[in-house]
Amino acid sequence: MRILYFQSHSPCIALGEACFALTPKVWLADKKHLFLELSSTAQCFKGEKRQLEFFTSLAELWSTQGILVLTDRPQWSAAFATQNTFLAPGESEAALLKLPIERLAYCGNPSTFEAESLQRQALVAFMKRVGLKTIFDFTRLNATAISRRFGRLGIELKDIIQNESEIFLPPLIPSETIVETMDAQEIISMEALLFCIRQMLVKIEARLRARMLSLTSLKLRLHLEQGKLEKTLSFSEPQTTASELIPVIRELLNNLRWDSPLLNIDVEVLETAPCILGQLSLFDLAENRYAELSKYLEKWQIRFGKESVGFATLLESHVPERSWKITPTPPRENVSVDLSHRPVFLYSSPRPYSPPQNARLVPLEKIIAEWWDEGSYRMYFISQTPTEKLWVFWDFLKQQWFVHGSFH
Amino acid sequence: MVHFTENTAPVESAPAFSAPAFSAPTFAELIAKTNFSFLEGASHPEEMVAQAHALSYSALGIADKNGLYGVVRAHRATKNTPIHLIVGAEIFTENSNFFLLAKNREGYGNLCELLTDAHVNSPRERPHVSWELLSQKSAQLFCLLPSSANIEKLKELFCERLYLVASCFRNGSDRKNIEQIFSLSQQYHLPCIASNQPLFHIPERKALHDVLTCIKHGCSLQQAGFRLLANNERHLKSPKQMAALFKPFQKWLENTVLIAEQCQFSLEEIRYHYPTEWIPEGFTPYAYLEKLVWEQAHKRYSAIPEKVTNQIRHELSLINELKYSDYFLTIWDIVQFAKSKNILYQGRGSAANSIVCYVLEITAIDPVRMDLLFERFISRERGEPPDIDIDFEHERREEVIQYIYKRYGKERAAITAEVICFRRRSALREVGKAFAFELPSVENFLTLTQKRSLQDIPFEEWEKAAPQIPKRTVDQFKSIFFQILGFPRHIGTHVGGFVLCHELLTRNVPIEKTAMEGRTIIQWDKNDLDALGFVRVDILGLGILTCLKKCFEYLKQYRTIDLGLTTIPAEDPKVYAAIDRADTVGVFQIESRAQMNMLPRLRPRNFFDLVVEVSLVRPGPIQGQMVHPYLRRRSGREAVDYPHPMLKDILHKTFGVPLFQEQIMKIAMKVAGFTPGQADTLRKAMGSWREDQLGQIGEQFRKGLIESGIPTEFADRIFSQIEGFAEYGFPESHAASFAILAYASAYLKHYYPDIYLCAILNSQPMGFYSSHTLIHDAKRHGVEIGGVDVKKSSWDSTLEAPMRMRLGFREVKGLSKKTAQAIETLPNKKGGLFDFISQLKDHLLPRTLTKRELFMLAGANAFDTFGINRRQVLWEIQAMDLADSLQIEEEPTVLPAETEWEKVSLDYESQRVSLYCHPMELFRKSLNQKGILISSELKHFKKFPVRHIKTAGIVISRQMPPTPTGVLFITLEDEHGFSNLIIRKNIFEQFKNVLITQSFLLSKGTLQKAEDGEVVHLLVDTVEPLLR
Repeated sequence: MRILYFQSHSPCIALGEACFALTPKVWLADKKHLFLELSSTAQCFKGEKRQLEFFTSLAELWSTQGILVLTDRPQWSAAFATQNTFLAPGESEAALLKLPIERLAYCGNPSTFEAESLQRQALVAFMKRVGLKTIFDFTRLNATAISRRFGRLGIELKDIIQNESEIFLPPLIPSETIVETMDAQEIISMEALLFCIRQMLVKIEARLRARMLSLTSLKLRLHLEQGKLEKTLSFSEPQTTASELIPVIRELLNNLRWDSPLLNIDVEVLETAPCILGQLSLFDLAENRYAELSKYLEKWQIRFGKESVGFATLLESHVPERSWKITPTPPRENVSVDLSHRPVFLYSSPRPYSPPQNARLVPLEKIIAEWWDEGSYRMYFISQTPTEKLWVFWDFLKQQWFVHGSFH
Repeated sequence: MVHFTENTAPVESAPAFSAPAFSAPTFAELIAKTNFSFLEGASHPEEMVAQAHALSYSALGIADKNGLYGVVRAHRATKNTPIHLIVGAEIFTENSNFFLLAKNREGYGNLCELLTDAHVNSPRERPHVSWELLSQKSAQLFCLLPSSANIEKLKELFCERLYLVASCFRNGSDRKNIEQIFSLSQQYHLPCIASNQPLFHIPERKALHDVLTCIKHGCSLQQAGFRLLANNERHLKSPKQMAALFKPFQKWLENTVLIAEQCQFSLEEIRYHYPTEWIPEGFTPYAYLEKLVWEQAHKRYSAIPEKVTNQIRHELSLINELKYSDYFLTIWDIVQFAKSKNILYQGRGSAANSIVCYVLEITAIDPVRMDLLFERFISRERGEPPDIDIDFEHERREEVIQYIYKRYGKERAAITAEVICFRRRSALREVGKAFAFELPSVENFLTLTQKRSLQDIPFEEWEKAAPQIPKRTVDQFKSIFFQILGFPRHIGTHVGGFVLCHELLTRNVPIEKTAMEGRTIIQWDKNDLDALGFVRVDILGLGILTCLKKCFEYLKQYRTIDLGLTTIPAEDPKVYAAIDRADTVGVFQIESRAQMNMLPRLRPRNFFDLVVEVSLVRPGPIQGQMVHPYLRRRSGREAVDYPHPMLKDILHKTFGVPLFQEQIMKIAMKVAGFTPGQADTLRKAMGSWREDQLGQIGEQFRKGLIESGIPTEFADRIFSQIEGFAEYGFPESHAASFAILAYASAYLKHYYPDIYLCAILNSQPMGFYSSHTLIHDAKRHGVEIGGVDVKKSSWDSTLEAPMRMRLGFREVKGLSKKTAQAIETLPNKKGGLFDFISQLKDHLLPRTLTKRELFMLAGANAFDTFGINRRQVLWEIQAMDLADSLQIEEEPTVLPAETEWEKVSLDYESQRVSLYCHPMELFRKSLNQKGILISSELKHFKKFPVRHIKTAGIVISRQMPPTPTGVLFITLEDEHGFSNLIIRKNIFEQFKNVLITQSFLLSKGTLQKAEDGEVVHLLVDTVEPLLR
């Protein structure tokens, strides 16, 4: 068995997905520990060197930093991960035994390291106290002695080192949707923007290729400082390379206008087609996903916009316009505070107002709050005339009257 | 800055708020909270009073949550105002809260008892009074109820003294609340009062209040939500504003004044009396004191000198005049207890200036023989009670404390509180958390404000410290930080200040229990006590007294030598010779690096020199630039002269250089024409660092000196010295008290180094050095030391023979005293390792033997006696099942032998020292090859300075005095002794990481020698870690 182990500083799930192009045996111990079995595909790539190059180019594509180890056994891999280590076939065991005893804590499945950290560290500390210096010294201890002193963990480690037990690594299951996101705050020209999108498309291309899929529809989302722009692109012919898509996207962007600064970009794969022919599923269960209420919500959202329809959730803020928000799902529990003196109907934002001569102003509530942020410095009144009863306030900073809601 | 003042709000002109002009609005705020409602109020009591005065109040009620913590401060603040302070508190029952105000002295006593009950008999985090006590102690108290909770019960208890509280907070619910109060008043026929229930004195404090709320709830401003106030209305409002708010309910305002008029209690009414019931019948306290003093004087002196007689008469007359007799008698009583129990003690501080204290054996210094100044202790003008601090053996102080509780009862004795306030670090951290700043930003602010006057830091530097935080936020943060400095956060326990009372203390001040079982504290701190004339006794613990006491016991036990503090041979030249060589590791007061550097320069020859030594290495004389002139004059390198003939009498014993507080006071009295009280006021004013206090009396002093013909330059030098003195300087009496202990410890260390080592190890934690340094120092003095041994050791270290000591189990890290004692008392210590542990396991009740303890014992080589090597013992213990049978049957495992370095490392892992060797010995061969010198070789050069010198050792101390030069002093230890490193600021910056983090250092630099001594130090150029 030949294992390429990658210990990353950041999550490498998307990178792992792309690695299906390298080998069908991809495991992820947790988000930062990736294992690839190379033997089965070594011939296709003409050797480990080419496989390593392929993996490195994928890792560069996602700018993922980490340590690479090439060993004979997955259970030994992490023990070598103090620096990039490439061990020729058959060399791993001898190299493992020469490692300092501290590395014993890193033998086995990396996903268990954190949970067993205290036990593992205690075991290593004890071994050091009794003079054991290398992993080899540990292997010389007899199994009964280890079992009596360190129980299950001790025996497991001994078995792992002596290649008498394997570890269970969960296979990587690709995510349902393929989305790539990029920060776009530094982008100042169309060419720079296209360059960014190209990079994202290259990543998507790598992920689709690993799944043996081609692209038939994608959604481009531009998140702006105020709001966002969304465009869906459907292709009559399935697309397989990023470079084919760039001219289409360029044309699309040329026709788009936005006057708020761009924050980030998403590219989401909406629909795909298999690259090789296969049987299509006859049963699509997607239609059962939505409950009755969601259908209504959807209808209203189409009519009034997604931001305007949803469930009202109260927030803990004294500033009225910040004391609630619309959420797509009902709130679990609402804030328990008596706000019954406030009107139910509020303007989306306060409007300048001038109390009519015949208005009776009844003082109601003073709000001086959230000074660390934008702040609110207001005195609220009920402004009552024979025809209307309004919720108005005097802004102490702007020195101006505003109307904020209506009691009718 | 955060501004909340709404200058042009239309509120006053709005129809419903346009109040008619009242001719004389009558209103008194009765239930204001101060910052002593910890983390709830946002103004100091003094600020609340000043604002009430500015708003023309005639009365103000302070009612803090669960206590009277802030009332004395408020009381002091009202002294120069016409405001009448009403004392009250917010009280909680299990399901309600209300305010109680004291009508008179009886009501105040009841309030104190209720608060005491709440704190003593309910959980600390939720104090509440019992209805049973409330029903007994409701007399002469007004009850103000802000809700309907328990209204019927309270009406039954307080009858016509129960009022409902109505408030307008402008939070939208005012109408509803007032309607509810109005309807309750109709239903229950109860009168109402209006109150704004202020939490701060001015609206601008709202931001600070928000931050305090966040600190209280452990959340950030963004997360605080409805826990914050909606507005800034909870401030002290003017009677006119209140009249406008409660326009239809003027009667409710008038009721506040009616209540205020009936609350006639003043804190001045508290008459404090010392317990006197044990004074024999037929004696007044003074008569009994006088009798005792003369009786004791005859015991102290074979023939009482005339000077002593006169001084006793003078002191007794002043004590009688100021009515302090019972205080002295109480101290005498405590001291008698300590003597009866053979507890070593010694009075310190200014009390040592009193001959009465000396003859009553409270202090050990004869003030007449030493020509000390009584007025430093008591003065007629000062109007403050005297302060007697007594040190007891630190391990037995609790016995004295429990004696006091037993003798006077917990209702009449309690410890003084200490108000824990926001200081720079805590304020920056906690306010930073409220603003949700990242930790690095807060750390940057901490660094910025370290060792600098906060006022001198320009805003740009605050901004630079956290460039990612918006300027406006930094400004807000800084503003709140400055406001919160000095705010009380909670109360703690004073180190040992006891208050005793003839009557029930619980009727004078509320008492609380502390986290420590069996301790109680009052709700006031020492300043509050001084203001009300309460006298306290400071019962302090001092490690060296424990050490000396143990020394005397061991001398008797092992050498049959009967020695005590008063019988140690005085002025022994060999002891002074050792002191001159700075052979003072472990010697009280003169063991620090700075003291050890001074000793070879000062070369003490007699007791007074030791007094000077103790006083000299203090910021006072250093800041006043008195150290070098003193050394030069003493060694004859500078002529002794006096700026004025009158100064000769005062300064002759210190060669014309003022070193002690008493000398400064004498100069003020004899030269500048001050009275004793003025002289003491001057000393205190200088120490307060406050320009306003210093100004007048300081100028008077300077003027007095200059008018007497003293040169201006000398006057200025004395001036700058007093600044340091008050904060850091010793009075001569105090230095002399400490010098006695310094000499005693030096004597015992010199003649009985084995006994002294044993005693000091058994008195840890104390002193400057770790067990490691003390043990290696003793080894250099010829003491043989045996390691911890399960068959031979006890909990304490013991002496096996002269100059041979066995380390005790207390040196083993993490070993409980209980396990150690079980080992000691094991009936049969025969058999092998398994038998021993098996017996120990069964012997310990309850069976609490842990593997960790066994590992530590094994690591300390305590099982060496069984002939099994340490690693093998560890190996066996790891396999043992302490809950079952211990015996193991398995193939033997061969473990590697320990290297020398491993031996030392394993020793230090398990105990505080390695007896195998000094760690530096392991490096010596390679260090010698590299030309790195040992510490003792550094002194052997004949010419200084010597460049390119290298030395190495273990870092045993790092000190960076707060000076502008920013020099770091490091002491290295090797197997031969110590070497001193001086690291200048630029070198420190360059090697900061190594200097702070490394325990073994190799340094290179220029060897220098001090101009007037034998002290050499290495001025470091480079430094590197010895271990890589």
